Amino acid sequence: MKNIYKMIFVALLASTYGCEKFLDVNENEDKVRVVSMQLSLPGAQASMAATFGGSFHNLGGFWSQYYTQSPDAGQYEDFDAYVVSTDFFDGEWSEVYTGALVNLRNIKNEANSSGATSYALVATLCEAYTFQMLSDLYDKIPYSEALAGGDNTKPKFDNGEDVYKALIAEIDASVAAYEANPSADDLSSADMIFNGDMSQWIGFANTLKLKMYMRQSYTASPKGTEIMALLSEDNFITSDAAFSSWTSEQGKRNPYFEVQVDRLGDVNGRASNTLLSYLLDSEDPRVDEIYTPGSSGHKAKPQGDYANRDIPNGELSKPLITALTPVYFMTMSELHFLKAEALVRYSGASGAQVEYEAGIDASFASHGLGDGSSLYASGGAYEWNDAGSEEDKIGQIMMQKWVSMANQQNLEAFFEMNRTQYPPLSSAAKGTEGAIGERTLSYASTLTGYNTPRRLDVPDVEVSRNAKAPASTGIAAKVWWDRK
Amino acid sequence: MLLYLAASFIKAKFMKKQLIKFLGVSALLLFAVVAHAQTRSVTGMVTDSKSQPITGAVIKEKGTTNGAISGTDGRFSIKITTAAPVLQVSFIDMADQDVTLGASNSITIKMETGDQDLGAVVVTAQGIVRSKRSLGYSVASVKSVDINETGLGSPINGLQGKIAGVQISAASSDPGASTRIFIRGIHSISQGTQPLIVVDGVPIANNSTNSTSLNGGFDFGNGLNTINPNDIESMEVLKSSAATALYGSRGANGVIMITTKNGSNSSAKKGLGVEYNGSATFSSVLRMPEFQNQFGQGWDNNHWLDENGSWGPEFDGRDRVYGRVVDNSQLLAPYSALDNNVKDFFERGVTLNNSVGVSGNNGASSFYASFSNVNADGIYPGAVDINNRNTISLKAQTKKDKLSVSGGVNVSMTEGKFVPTGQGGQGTYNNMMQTPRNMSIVDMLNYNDKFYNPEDYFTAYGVTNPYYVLNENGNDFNGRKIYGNIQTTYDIKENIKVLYRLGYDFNTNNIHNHRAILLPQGVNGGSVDDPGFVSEQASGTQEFNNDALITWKKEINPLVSFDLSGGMNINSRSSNSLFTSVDALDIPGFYNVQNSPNAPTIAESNTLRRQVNFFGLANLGYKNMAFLNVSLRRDQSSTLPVENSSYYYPSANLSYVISDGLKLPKFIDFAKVRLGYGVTANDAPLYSFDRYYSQSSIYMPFRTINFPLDGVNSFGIDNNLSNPTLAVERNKEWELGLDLRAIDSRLGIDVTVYSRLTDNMILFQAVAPSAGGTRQISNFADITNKGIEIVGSYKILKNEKGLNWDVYANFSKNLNEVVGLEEDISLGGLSTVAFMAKNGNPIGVFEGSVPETSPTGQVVVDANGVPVASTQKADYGNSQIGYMLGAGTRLRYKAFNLNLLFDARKGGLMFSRTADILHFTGNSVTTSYNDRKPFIVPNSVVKIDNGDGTFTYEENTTAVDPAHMDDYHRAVAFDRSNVIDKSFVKLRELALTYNLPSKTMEKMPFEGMSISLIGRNLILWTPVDNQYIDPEVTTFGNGIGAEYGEFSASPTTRSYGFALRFTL
Repeated sequence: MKNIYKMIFVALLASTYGCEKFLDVNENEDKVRVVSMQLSLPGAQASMAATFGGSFHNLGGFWSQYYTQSPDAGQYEDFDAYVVSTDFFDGEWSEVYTGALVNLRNIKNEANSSGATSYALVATLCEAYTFQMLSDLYDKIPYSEALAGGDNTKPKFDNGEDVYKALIAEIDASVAAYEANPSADDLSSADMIFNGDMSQWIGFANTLKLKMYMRQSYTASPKGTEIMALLSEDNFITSDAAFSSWTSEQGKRNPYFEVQVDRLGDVNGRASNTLLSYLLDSEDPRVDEIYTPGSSGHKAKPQGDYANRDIPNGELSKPLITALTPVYFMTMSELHFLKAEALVRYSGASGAQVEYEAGIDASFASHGLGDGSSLYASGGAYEWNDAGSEEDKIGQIMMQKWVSMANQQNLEAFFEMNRTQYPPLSSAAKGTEGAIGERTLSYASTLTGYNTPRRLDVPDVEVSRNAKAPASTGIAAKVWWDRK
Repeated sequence: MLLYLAASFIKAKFMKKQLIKFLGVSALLLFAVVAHAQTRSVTGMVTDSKSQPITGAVIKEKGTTNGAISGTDGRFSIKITTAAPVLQVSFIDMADQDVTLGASNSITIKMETGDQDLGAVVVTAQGIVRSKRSLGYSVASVKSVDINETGLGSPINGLQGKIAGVQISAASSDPGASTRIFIRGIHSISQGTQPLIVVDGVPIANNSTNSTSLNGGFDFGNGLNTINPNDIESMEVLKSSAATALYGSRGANGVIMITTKNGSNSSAKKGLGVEYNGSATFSSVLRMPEFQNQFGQGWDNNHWLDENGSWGPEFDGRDRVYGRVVDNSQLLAPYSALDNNVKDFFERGVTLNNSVGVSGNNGASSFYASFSNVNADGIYPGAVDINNRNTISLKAQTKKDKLSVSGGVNVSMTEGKFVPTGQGGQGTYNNMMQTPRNMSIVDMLNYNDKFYNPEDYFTAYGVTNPYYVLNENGNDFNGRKIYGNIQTTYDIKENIKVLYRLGYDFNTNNIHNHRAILLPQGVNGGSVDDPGFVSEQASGTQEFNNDALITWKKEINPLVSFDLSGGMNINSRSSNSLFTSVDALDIPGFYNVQNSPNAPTIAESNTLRRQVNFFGLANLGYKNMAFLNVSLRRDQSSTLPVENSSYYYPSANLSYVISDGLKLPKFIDFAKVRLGYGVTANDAPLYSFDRYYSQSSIYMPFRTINFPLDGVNSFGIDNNLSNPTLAVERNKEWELGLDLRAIDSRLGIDVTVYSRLTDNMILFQAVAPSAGGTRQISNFADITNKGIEIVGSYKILKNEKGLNWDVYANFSKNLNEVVGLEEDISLGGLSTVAFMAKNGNPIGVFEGSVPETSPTGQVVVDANGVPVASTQKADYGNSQIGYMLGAGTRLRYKAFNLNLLFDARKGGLMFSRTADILHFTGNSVTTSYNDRKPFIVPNSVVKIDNGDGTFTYEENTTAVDPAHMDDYHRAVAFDRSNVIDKSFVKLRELALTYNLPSKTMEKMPFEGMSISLIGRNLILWTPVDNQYIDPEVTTFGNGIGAEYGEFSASPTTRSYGFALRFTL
């Protein structure tokens, strides 16, 4: 009898003793707690590519008047109608903060604590590019308090100007830290933008700074001095910053192709006559690289004329983006045009022509078309007008920048269009096309007068969960640097 | 039901004689109780009506605490202390009996089977058997006959409409589909809603193997439905927290306790016994949508021959061509409606159910072995919707001196095929719903025919020949379940007993799914493209339970009894799953994941959770009349943060038999009040409060980018923020009840009211993405459930030799409310009609578009006179059922027994995609409104934009013309019409049984034999706004989401046939 009691006692004791370890099994075997920087960087960069090369690329295509809504479908009528519901980009906003930025922040933190200055630099630059693009699109964004996880689930919103200042300081500090003590990490398998080429990343830092300084050219404090210092240092990218690790399988293809062409059947975006007419009028061979012609050659619709079903879908030219088209973050042509504009604005235009023509050449080259000399040569449509005013020169540069960014940097083109007002907005009445080389007020515009989109409102997914989000301004409100 | 009861009362008045006799006896007994005590010992034997000994019958001397339990030979010995002793004899499955003891010290008591709900003992939490009168909470006990009378393969579907407060719904009539059970409403949003299923003291896995995909959903059933119902001896449904507190964090949704046959319980006889149960049932469509038969193929009132709807001109009966032009030829038929074109597609389903059980009992040892086979082929033509289930059950027990050992193993093997539900070309039923009213579907049988093949199929709009998808695409399910237990008990002393039990449950499921390559060529180009698809999923779950229990009983004095138990439970549950799929196949008809140039998609999942639980309970009885039960359980769960991982679950309940304690009106035979309180809880979901990294998958609209990319892999941090302070969500429930039997025990009434608060619900709170994540698991918001349950029965006629007529009914009403929820939470649903939890509302609010109205409340219409949807969505109502009522009658005349059960549910809404698609295609009868003649939407206005942000409203003069009738009937503004009232009344069960007379039996080797005509779900009545579907169906699983409704579910069926039962 007593043995029974003993056994029960021992059994109970044993089970209690083993309890803590027995219960320590709440570890998800299908996931990991810690991931190397090398394994988390590609996903963060792909997230940037998917967002800026996908939905925002599509939006930029409409608002830069490269694309317009086909009358035979209707998915993006709102872009041409200049109404974007505040939940439209919920998914992109979530992806960019929780896919790109939070992972970049984790890499940056880990790199900083482990002295991996190369990873720290790459993560800082990717983060800076992403924040810069977001702040240009939304003006005020969560930045200084963002990405704190459970410690701060309602980050405050920072002014775009403050974001810019802080980003440039971060870039400078990160470059300095790397140059002072370059770590030997091999990023080649992790860095899907420059394949671990750190000199390109240093160039990226300077190119990004140049872009951000140039963006402020119409603000109360333009950055001529800083810009000329960068130009004299001349340590920029020497190849495009692009994400090109696409393969021809579902879920692994160019984001625009994946969604617009494959998933939605390539029925919505069609050539806008704003760009198509300009290319045809200039006899620019890039027309066949930017657009796939319709069944009877190149045809386009005036911007926003989707209510008029005069041309069947099959006859309209459409954006030529393939499964393997890279997503461009910054390009050589962009760099050349930035330099050309800087030289015009801050250095009496000397050397601007060289950069202008180099910009056109770089664009031609990226389309596999050799160079653009036939067009900028004497008598060509894009011949440099050295006799023109400063504004004329800027206009000429910006028109070429607008053309070169088509299908490559649609969103960036939208920002630059708002900054410089090139191509200029036609004063023709709504429902009438502007002249060649002018923007057309969308036929479907629901904004008053000649207002056009200048930004997006912060999406519902943020506003509904973060009381610190600013009140909606509407998409026609200009962002802080949009002053021309 | 009230009518029945009223009738019963009137009837009762004519039975004065019996009443007087009864009252006399009662009075006599009351005197007897107070009479002088006198001690003696009486021995006896308890047998059933066939003189077989009954083991475990409870014998009590009325008015005392003296009692005994009959042994394996039916014998007992009892101490008698009153002068005119009356023995109360009770046994589960048998009618309670009072036997007046004479002077003799020896007695044989013969018990009769039958009276329901009067079982003396019931199985309660942790498998503890208690006398029913001692319970301070309501327990619904169900016997084998209730489960099996209509010959079902499911152990639970037979309880539909029979238990108050328990909503039991089959997801569909497809063979083998899941059953969902909600006990006293929904108490949790994120933590599951299904009760714990306990078989012979051991919890088993009850997961449903289903897919809620809108593009091909399936349901291969749940764990509970793999049990052979003929193996079940009895079932107890524990509803309240007071009843389930001993299951702590697993008893939150109630517990269904199943006791299986083991050769020694009441249904078994001494020696060798053989029991056969067989049935053959046939099924046919119960509810077809009501189609309009006035208009034929076309759109906008035009006779377009490639349209998938009936918006064409009115039928004229003239010969017209239809379909595609193939080889310069076209089909020709009269342009008129084919009333039954959908119905004719279906065939008669057949289910064969055979079960053989063998039991043996030699007094000390017993065994039970059974084999069963269910072979079902549903109503779709061909063997495409089948369920073939084999079960084997082996159990044995033996007792020697103080040690008894029992054990059992059950194996269930299921093979199935399911016709996918949902939209697109994959859904067979969806394809049929989009066939114009003048087009024959059965003619399409040969899908290689030049007019009916997928390339030349009549329509261009995303649907195809239903016979094609039915036969060329498909799935195979293969499920295995093995569960059982080993249990030993040892009587350390006469009043101390220890028990150890090991329970286990293994499940493995394989699902193979394929779609044929369909890349239409030719001038007509088909309507559906599919590069082909194949997937294979292997999943499994395991559950182990170790239980130890020690019980100490003490009779403090003859009036007061006391027992104390302590126990522990170690529980471990794990699961694993591997899924792989590939699309774009190379070789047609070869369904293997290697058959593609694409890399297969692979998903892996592994889980493990554990609990260590201790519990104790004490029971105090006074004069077998008043009882107090208290219990306390401590759980420690692996899924919670360590600091919050252990919890205490107290409960207390009080039972007082008023009829023993107080002087009540004479017509009351028995009255008991119950009061209970208990706490249960849900622990956290697995791995929910830590932050992890998983393989990067990047959001885009409609698609994702998936790593590896170009040979590089990547991992990204999850969107789920950590929360180290997460705690359990708790249920606290009060229950008060009254159990009454009166008028010579003819009338039985049991009323329960309860109130449950689920507080600190575990929910995923949406977080601003800028924090670096999108959600965080937290404890917030509450749900309350308050309700009443009334169970009543009345024996209108009680005549041993002649006609017996019983009526019975149960009614329940539950009020549910979500409290303290700051932000609406989606429970599933669709983007068009959302399914939400909203503060201050019952759970499951439907929210969708409504017509825009002017400031003065007039409907705004567009240029065609069709109402415009408001940008503001509105609440349509919720999914909660107003009340449930089950009512039936049982007639017995000599060897004949007739049982009839109606099941009614009133109130609640559901979404119906079937309604939606029929409105869209113009096939529903509602679309022939006003014969599709032009009409102006009453009280409608046109909204004019003044260009300055203001609007003017002018009276609408534009009639909706026939060309825009489709725009009217499928307008977004009218999405409300796709959300239907899910009230129904069903003739749930009909069974007419003939028990072969014992005289006939004597000449045959059988001991008993019965033949039944059986029917289930024979008639369905629904409110007028449901002309579409059986409202019990769902295609959204078996949790809360299931209450959303259906997305092109297959029609349900009625079934009818016969059953044969015999014992040897």
